[in-house]
Amino acid sequence: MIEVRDVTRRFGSFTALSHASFVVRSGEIVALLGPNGAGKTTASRIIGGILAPTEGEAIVDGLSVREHPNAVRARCGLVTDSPSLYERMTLRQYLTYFARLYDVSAPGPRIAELVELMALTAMLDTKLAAFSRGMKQKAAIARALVHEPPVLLLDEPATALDPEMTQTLRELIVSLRAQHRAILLCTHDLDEAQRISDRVVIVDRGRIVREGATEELRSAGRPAFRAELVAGETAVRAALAGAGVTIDGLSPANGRLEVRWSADDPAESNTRALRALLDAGARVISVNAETRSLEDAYLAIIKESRQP
Amino acid sequence: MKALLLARREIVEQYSDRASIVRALFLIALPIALIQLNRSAAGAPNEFILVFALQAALLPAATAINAAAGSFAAEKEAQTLVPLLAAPIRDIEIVAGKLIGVMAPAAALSIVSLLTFYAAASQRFGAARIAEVLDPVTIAELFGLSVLFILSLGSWVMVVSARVPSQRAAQQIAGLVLAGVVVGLTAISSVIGNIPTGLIAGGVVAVLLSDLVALQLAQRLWNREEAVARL
Repeated sequence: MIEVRDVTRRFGSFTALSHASFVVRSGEIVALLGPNGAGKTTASRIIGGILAPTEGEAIVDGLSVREHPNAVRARCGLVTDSPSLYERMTLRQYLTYFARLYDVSAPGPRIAELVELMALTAMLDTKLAAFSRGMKQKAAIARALVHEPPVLLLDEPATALDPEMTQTLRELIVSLRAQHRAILLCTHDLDEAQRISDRVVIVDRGRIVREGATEELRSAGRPAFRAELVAGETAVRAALAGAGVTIDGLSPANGRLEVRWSADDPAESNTRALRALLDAGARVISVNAETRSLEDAYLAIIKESRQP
Repeated sequence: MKALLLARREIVEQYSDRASIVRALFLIALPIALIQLNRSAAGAPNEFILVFALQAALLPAATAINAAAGSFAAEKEAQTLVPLLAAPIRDIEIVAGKLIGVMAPAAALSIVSLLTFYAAASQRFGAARIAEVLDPVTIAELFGLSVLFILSLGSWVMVVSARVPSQRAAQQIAGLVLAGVVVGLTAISSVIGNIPTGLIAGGVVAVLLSDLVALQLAQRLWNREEAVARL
């Protein structure tokens, strides 16, 4: 549904996006993750037909953003971090206005359906200026959906929302995926991405540094382990060094010692490590495989990508 | 069609502000008040009536300055530009919508002001004299002049408004332009009888050329790429 092919976008001498390629299929949520200024917004604006790529091509629903920008815009719904509403209008006037801009022939039933979905029916004839921040964001989402777009571009949609509203928004996004829409979620909220996205594309300094299924990224890298021991620090260091295991971290806690290491071949390395620890007189309380959160994976990937 | 939709929203936005209505009424009332309060007006020459008629046509048109000042800067400040630029509208429709939104109410005010002035002047100087001085052709010429004036001010202020960082800055510029307009009109009033016809025609051509340049610039600045780069 969305295909970004080797897209570069420059603003003067600044390259906001460099040779980016990725795909978002129908019924899929892809999180475009990256720090501030990484190029996420530029990517969503190119896909949404607001900006033309300097090089490369973006295809939305089979249409080139270069050749058919208006048709591409008609197929996309865009939500930004700021609701960006005409606050002197009522919700009904606002949605009707955008429905007409998007050539929706009979907007009434669609608007009624959307406000019900957003739980805003009672506010339909209220001026948008009187809405709370969360309600304004809901109105912005209703605007983005008024023409039933097959593609949704969500650029930090949960910014400044309270946890309850964030949860509602999350459920809404998931329900939109079930309607076979292609959803690109630009965010630096890793928790959000981990909860709802099917795949993750990590972008840093305009370059795509990793792409894959959320679980795939979390499990990428060397498997890591954590053991809780009762032993002397020096003895543990000596035992693990003798077993050829490199310690990633070692910290005393409540009279115990917490040791972390990683291993390419856990069966071999862990056996050697445990044997060495026992031989050194250590009492082993627990040994666990460490599960990386998406945040850990993300930080490791970003760090790795910045290494010369 | 979408340009008209954009224009309608612009107009509603402008006149949902009470200050805009008060400003418009003041500018309509000003030339009428001046002739009503001027004791020597009854014996004044016809040029005197023409000068006030000119002011009646052009002063309400100056409301276009404020509207144009807010057209880009206010949207930029409220961040309402992105959803607009994300909608399936051509750049030219956006420019046309903005310009119509600025020009249409100012032109309507100008015609209302001229007709109100006509009625007030008829009462002050006698209907026969006013019918002779402000015949339909003169009224049409004055209205045409005011439309040109609105187009000039509107497009140039829109160009400036696209480049300033905030609505406040745009309104300050609009205030300066408005002050310049008032000074210009006063100056014209004092020498109107002595301006050679050729110079007037030359002035009109110069204004038309300036309008074309301003419209070209406004269209470039409203190009999506440019607009997004300025957000």
